[in-house]
Amino acid sequence: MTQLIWRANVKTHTVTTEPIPESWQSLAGRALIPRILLDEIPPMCEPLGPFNKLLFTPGFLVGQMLSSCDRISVGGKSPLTGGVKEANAGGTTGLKMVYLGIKALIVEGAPADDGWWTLYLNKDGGRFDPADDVAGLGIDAAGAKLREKYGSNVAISLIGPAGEMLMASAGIQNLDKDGFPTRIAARGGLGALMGSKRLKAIIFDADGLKAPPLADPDLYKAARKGFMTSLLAHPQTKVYTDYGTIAVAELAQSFGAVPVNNFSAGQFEHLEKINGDTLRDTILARGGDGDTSHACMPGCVIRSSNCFPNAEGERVVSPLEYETIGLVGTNLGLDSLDAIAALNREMSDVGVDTIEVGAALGVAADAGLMEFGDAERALELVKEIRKGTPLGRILGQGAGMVGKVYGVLRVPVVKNQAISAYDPRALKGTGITYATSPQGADHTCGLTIRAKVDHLDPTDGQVEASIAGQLNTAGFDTLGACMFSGFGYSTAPPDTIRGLVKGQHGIDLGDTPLQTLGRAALKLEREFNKAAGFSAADDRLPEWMTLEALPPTNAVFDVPDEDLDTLFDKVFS
Amino acid sequence: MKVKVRLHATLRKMMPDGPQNRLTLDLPDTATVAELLQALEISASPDHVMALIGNRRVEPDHPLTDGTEVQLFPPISGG
Repeated sequence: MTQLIWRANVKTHTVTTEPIPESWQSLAGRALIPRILLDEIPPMCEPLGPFNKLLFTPGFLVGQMLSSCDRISVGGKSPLTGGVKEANAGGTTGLKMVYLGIKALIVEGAPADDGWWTLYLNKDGGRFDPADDVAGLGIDAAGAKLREKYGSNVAISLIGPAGEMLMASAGIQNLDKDGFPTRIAARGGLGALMGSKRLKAIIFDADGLKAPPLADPDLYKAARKGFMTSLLAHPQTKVYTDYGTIAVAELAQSFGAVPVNNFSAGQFEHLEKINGDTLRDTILARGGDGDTSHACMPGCVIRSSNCFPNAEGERVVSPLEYETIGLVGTNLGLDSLDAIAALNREMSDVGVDTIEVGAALGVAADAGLMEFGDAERALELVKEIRKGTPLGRILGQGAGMVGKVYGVLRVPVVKNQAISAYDPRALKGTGITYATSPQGADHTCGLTIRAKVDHLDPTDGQVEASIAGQLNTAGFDTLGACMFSGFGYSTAPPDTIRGLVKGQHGIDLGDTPLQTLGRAALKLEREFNKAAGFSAADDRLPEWMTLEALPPTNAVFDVPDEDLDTLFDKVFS
Repeated sequence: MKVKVRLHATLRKMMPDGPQNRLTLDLPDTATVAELLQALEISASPDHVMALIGNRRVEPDHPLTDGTEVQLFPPISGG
């Protein structure tokens, strides 16, 4: 299939295709999103209004079932931050989009009525089907019903009740390789943007289609071999296969960077009850549906996802990740994997970002709405979101909104997006990433925990570590590559990424493709945010983090403002 | 001198007596982190291990002292 731009208008219920504009051809995934936004929407527009557009675009490497490289980027102007937003996810959406020949799907316009719709796309084009029968359903039930209607071979992107209620913590879920709607493009409220278009789901039916031909099969296959050999041999691959992301919990604890009780401490007394060893041992002991090494995308050999079962071995939630255990566990004073998994399940089913809502609950606890350590009350509060009560709607708007409504100053957000499970006072390079990333606070935009620096010393190479992380991750997001694929790319022969992209598309990205793509993405994102009204004042951590010492390191965030203000001069020079 | 060691994730199952999280080793008074790793038969390559004492990472040439607790992590870079 020829790769084209597909455009779906939610007012006229039409789907059209058009050639890819020249300036979009050398971009994909994360880097293509701000280019389209700059070209097609007024940067100052209301994120939930008629002028914003919802974008889906697979990264450059998507479509060949190359291990860990089939991620889908979803984007738009963020309902949470008001700036550029790209949130990516695994699953099968990206793969099916490439099979359908969709370089980017642009969902635009203002809905003509209050009905709910499903956008169905196949090789013949697209149509809008009434979806009032799935409106209001949670992610699990809606996903099952949609698969029943459209078949088990389609990819689906869908929203839960939180997205329907236009909550800024709402994400967009995608089917994993087993057909479960578990892979969420979580951050920045893109589920609310989809809800504003009155779309409950998008179906990607690639029946009878396959991957497009390679531009240079020999070059591609040689590069693929180099990548796969390195990925399988890298020791980090084995760690993530056995433990997944939770392996990092004890490292974050040792650096004093675990979020505890709404970011009031950096070490959690009971971490051993919920750390990587305990999670792995619990899953193995319970058996049944439990899985310590689950692939979220077909063909992934890292398999860092998991499935957490209850005591009877029945599936509770998949995946259970470190960031959720951090924000929903330690950050709320909870030391029970079962309690955290129950909260995770409810959040996933209502369709929200566990980081954002975990942080919102932490602020809510400081406001007196729950006690830290009270799992039952935490679950009650999350259920308010599904009910759409005033309290639920406040929580569903994220940590920043809870702080404003209840007068709490200890709110862990940057650009109104919640800080994830690495306290920036004890990991200062990561704090620089949180402050300066055009995406808002997001560890996946440049986590520095493995950098060879003294994480407590603001002058010890923190800016350089953040820049390297931001460029690499923006590059991976543009390739559609999971950041863990970096285990393979970092040790693969030179020109591996260059060979893969050139072999697949015939596009030569030069000697430093990852950085070239990363720089392009960041430059366009900064340009969009500036046009949307962002300034240096938005590139700051919350003031309280510069004043309130974090036990036990007693660190505050003390990176000079000048370092934050000049970071992108260094990136673009 | 005696040095306490805490092993994390995949490193715990590399121990000769089966999976262990914590152990205490007798090492010469001049021992460094590299010699501790050698005693445990763990590669000192940063691709294989990261060592922390207290809240800070330490390099293989870092000298050890009696009673110190060293935490050893396999390669982990976040989630």
